[in-house]
Amino acid sequence: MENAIEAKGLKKFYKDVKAVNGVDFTIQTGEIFSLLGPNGAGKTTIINLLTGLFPPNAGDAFIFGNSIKKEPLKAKALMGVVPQEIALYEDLSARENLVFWGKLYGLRGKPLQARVDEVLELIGLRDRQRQRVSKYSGGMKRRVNIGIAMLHLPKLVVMDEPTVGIDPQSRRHIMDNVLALNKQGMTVLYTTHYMEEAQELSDHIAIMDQGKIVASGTHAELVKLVGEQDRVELTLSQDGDKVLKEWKKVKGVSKVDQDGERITLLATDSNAVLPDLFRIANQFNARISSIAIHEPNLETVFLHLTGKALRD
Amino acid sequence: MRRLFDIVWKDICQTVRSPMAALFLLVMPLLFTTFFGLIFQGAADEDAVSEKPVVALVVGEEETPILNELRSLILETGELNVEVFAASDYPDPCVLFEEQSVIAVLVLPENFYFSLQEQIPATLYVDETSSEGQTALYTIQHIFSQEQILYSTSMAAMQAVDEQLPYSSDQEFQAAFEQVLAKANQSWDEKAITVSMERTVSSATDDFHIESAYDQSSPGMLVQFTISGLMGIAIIFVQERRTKTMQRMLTTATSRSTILIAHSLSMFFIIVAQQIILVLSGHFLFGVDYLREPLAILLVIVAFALWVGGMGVLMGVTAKNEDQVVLFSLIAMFLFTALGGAWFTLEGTSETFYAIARHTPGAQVMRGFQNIIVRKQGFSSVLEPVGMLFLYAILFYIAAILIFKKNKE
Ligand SMILES: Nc1ncnc2c1ncn2[C@@H]1O[C@H](COP(=O)(O)OP(=O)(O)O)[C@@H](O)[C@H]1O
Ligand SMILES: [Mg+2]
Repeated sequence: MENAIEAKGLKKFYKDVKAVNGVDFTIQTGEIFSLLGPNGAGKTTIINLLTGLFPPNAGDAFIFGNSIKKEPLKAKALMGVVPQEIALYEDLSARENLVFWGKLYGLRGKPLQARVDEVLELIGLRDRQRQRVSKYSGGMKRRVNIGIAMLHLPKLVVMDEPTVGIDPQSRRHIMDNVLALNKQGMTVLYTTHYMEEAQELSDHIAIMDQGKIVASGTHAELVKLVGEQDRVELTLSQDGDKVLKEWKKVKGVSKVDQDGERITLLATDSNAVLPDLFRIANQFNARISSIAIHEPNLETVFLHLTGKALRD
Repeated sequence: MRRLFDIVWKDICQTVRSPMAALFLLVMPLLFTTFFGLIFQGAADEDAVSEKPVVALVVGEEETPILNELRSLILETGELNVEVFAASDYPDPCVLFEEQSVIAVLVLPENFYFSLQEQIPATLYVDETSSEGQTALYTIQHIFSQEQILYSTSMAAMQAVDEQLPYSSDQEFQAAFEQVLAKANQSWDEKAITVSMERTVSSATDDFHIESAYDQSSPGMLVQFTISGLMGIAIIFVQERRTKTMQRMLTTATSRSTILIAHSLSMFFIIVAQQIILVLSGHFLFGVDYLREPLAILLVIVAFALWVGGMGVLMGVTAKNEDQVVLFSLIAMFLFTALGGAWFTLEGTSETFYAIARHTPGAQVMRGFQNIIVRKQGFSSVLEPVGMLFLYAILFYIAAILIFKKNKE
């Protein structure tokens, strides 16, 4: 079957930032594909390139075979886009928003009204559809934001961090929607900086950092990259530059990343290295006030690949 | 194409729903029209008496009964003033047109009542192409066709005869009078006066007499608050950029130019609707005679809306945020209303100011409106200001399009 998206050598540079610096990936029709990366990794820029907001400096991408450079209108018509920001008219009601955007997606008359009803049901806002969006909670706005992209039943839905800044309940609702839509056959491109979301939703994941894809594959494939390493998270009660320096030398410790008091490191066998870590801390009169050991996951992968923790 | 009107419709819904818009588009201008109207009404009333157009009566002999009769009949109409001049002082009566506010010269031949029977008519010099001239013509023709004047001229003629050659009895006098009257009746209508076309100096400025303060405040406030209304459209642009709805539209196979054209169109429709409401209120609430040339007024409205639309779009693509929009709109509003003569008439300003200000777009709008409502000119009088406004509109649109294209990262 034809691929939903093929990105080839995409580049987008701003004055002094290489926001997207040579990105290739393929999304198969029918799958959920996640771009996982910290803030500033270039996820939104990729989405903006794919949805034709501005042209790439180099490379091209194909939406079901349509070049975003040569046939942008055809490519756009096949996509529903959920922007990272809540892009709604606050002074219109949810229904009016949906009707307006439905028209821009080419729907008219009865089919439009019927589809709006369905989407309102889907996003759970049928009862409050006539209220102005400005009166909604953040989570409700997010749901309308997403609903709009579903209106014309696109073959491909592109969602840019749709769960940022909302309550757990709305978040759950959204994730369930994504899974349900995918079951109905929609291909989904999903960006996030929450590794749990990527892990739960995706068939394939591409991990991004600084404008590049540093690794991609299924969850299992990615986790395999780190081998048998555990991720150890510690809190150190005082500034411990010297401690960190010594820790890095401990046999079995590979990466060490510090963010204030929080320290994350990778260790082949956490049981074996922990006594050494404590001993060194004591030497410098530093106290370890908390410690957690995690089995390998995407977080571990990111640390392994970039030497940085993938933090919120 | 349909998307275009979907966006227009959305803009209009948003505007209609915004309380700020209603306040700025309608409530404030009506309030201020009343306000300025009341302030200046007193002054205008005083002026009005002396500023009424004047009919110059040129006569051989003063204080004849027929002259007095004519004078009071003309004054009774309330439209015109009368001044009497001696024929001996004005061998060429038309020089009287150089006098201030003389719009018609009526020359009564010596012994008008006798001459009547000899069929020497009175002569009316008037500029039929000016609306004031027409008013004078119709008024005087109407007076001359009244029974009353027929009666009094015939009577005057009889009395003159009687003085020289007295009738023997009242019955004889009465019989002769009826003869005269019958004859006068026959020939009066077409013979009493002849009309002589005279093109008077009727340049725009000379013709400018504000009769009601609302003739100034109504179009003035309309100009001011239409310009301030451009804030609305510019804010839509800025909001759409801030809320990223603009970007979202671009993801739906809607092009940038569609969005630009759609917003200009909504701006245009809203402003036209606003002006129509204000013009109708001006006509029916404030007695400003907009509807004497409805097509001309509509043309001015359309041209004005195009220009303001262009300015609104230019502002929308230039301003970075809502604060800037408000700032720019206020600057534009004060600049163009002051220079346009919306608060005070430009006619009274210094020569330099007038020379510059009269070319500004705001002044074109005022000129367009006041050519109709104050100068009482015809349809063609708005064509020049309207043409100028179209030019201004085109300039602003071109600038907006260039900037919009440049903004496209
Ligand atoms: N309009 C812009 N001008 C300059 N730099 C930008 C612009 N948009 C994004 N960037 C930069 O590009 C990089 C990638 O941004 P973005 O794609 O938004 O990341 P993400 O969505 O992964 O958080 C960041 O360093 C950001 O600062
Ligand atoms: Mg982003």
